[in-house]
Amino acid sequence: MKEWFGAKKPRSLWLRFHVQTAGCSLYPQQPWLNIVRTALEALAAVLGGCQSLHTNAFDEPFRVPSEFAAKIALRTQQIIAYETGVADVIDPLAGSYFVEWLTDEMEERAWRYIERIESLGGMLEAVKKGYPQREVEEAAYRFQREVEEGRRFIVGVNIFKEEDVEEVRRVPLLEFNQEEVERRQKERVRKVRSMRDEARWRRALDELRGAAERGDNIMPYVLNAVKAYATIGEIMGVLKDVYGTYVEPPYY
Amino acid sequence: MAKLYSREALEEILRAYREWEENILPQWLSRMPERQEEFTTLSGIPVKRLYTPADLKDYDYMEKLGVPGAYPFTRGIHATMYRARLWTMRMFSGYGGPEETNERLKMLIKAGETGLSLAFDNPTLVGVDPDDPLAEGAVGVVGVSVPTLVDMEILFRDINLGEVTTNMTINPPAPVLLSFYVAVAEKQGVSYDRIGGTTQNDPLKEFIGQKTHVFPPEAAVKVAMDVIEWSVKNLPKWNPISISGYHIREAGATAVQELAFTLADGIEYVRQLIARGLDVDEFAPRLSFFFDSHINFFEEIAKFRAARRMWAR
Repeated sequence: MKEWFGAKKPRSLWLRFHVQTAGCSLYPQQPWLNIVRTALEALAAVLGGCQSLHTNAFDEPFRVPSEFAAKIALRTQQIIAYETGVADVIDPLAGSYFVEWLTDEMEERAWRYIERIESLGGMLEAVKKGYPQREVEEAAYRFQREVEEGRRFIVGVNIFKEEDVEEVRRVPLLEFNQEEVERRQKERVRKVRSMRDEARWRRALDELRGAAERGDNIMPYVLNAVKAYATIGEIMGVLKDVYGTYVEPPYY
Repeated sequence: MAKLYSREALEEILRAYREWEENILPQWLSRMPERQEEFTTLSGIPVKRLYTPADLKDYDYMEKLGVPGAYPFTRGIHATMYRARLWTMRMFSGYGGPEETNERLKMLIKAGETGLSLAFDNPTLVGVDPDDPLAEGAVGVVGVSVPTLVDMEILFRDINLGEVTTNMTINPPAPVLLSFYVAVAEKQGVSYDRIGGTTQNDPLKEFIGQKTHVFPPEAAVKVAMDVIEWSVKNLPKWNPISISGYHIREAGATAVQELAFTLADGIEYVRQLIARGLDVDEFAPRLSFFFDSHINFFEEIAKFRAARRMWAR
């Protein structure tokens, strides 16, 4: 920000970030272990200086979290904040020979990728060429193979496995009547359509279309359409008409 | 210049290290071989058995670290960090209809969470109504269904939008969801300068990782930049974008790729906004980021610290 873009305000240089613990590191086998994984990942986020944090619930490999599981996840953060003392000293791992070496190493390796992307004309061009998509697919494949070949360990998955699935059946999953919700949501959206001021709604969508076609900033027009009770599908429909839609090409 | 170690000190440390490698280590290794031939981080970075000041030999403290709240911000963006204000505990939540999720939000606020974060269902994420054939069987499954302003009002019943901040994990329909939120705030009598929160609104990572894209890349970026430009001018406390490594990582990227691609996305957005005629110092303070925290402990910590330093440079 400073050297490339000449930002002057200190705030312009701040990388403020939210963290979510890794959903992909959670497994359905011995699901309680996910509480421990999440706690360790949350601790890393705090030691890394995040501004905001979401901790995953242990039942997420199965479904959106139950109240019980969501509360444990939140309480995990509260234990880190109020019991462990890790929040009492700023950046306590600084000066660790290993951590500083690894910080430098990550930076150096990341710059190499960024230079490559720059040479492709920036990220928008790189995405159109499929470059990062290919890189990520290769990395995902590599990791999968390492796990399958036993070169990466995952407790309960490829080491310390347990055959008994009894405990999985004991996970108290969130129960709600999805069909009932779907019926209610359909009914409501139809009711909103039937009750709104038709002329105002029509005008708002026409104006949105005009703005999108002219290349104007669409935000004021979307806000106006929302206030005229246009639905998400109707607004997105207008924008899809103007901008088109995207079908991902195969990269291999 | 603030070199950490003098040449003399480094020479002595290196001498001791070599002696350890030559005279002490071999006996131990022959009696107790190491568990693996090579140890690597999740990104595949090989790690040695021991690190010493010799690994940081020309290390300049002021250039690389400095103090918290000052350039290059490696040690943190605030001078007081968590001693003054803890991180926001923001639980990503949403399921069913707005009624169910309203209950969940209130439960989490009561349990002590300090920020709200909404998970939307798939129809909402790609911007189709619940009665669209594409939505069949998916309404309310992975998050909450919010197709109209009426739903958004129910979602925030008894929650004052002037007193909470809300993250919305929404991308192509970000202008719609932000408009719902702003319209509800207006109805509650909350002025624009008190509306706080985040729209994810990061189109590039959709193509790299998340794959809930709708528009082609150019148009997707254009719409996202509209949201940023409008928010910067109208909602001083809103984070109009959360430049996200999370989904890139979840799609199987390494920590290094997550770091690099996220910052490269950020660089692209900065260029786009400057090309619109915005001043960098006008919008840069409103850009925010979103990372994954995976299980390889030190690599994640190093990633966060490196990210801060790289972005500031």
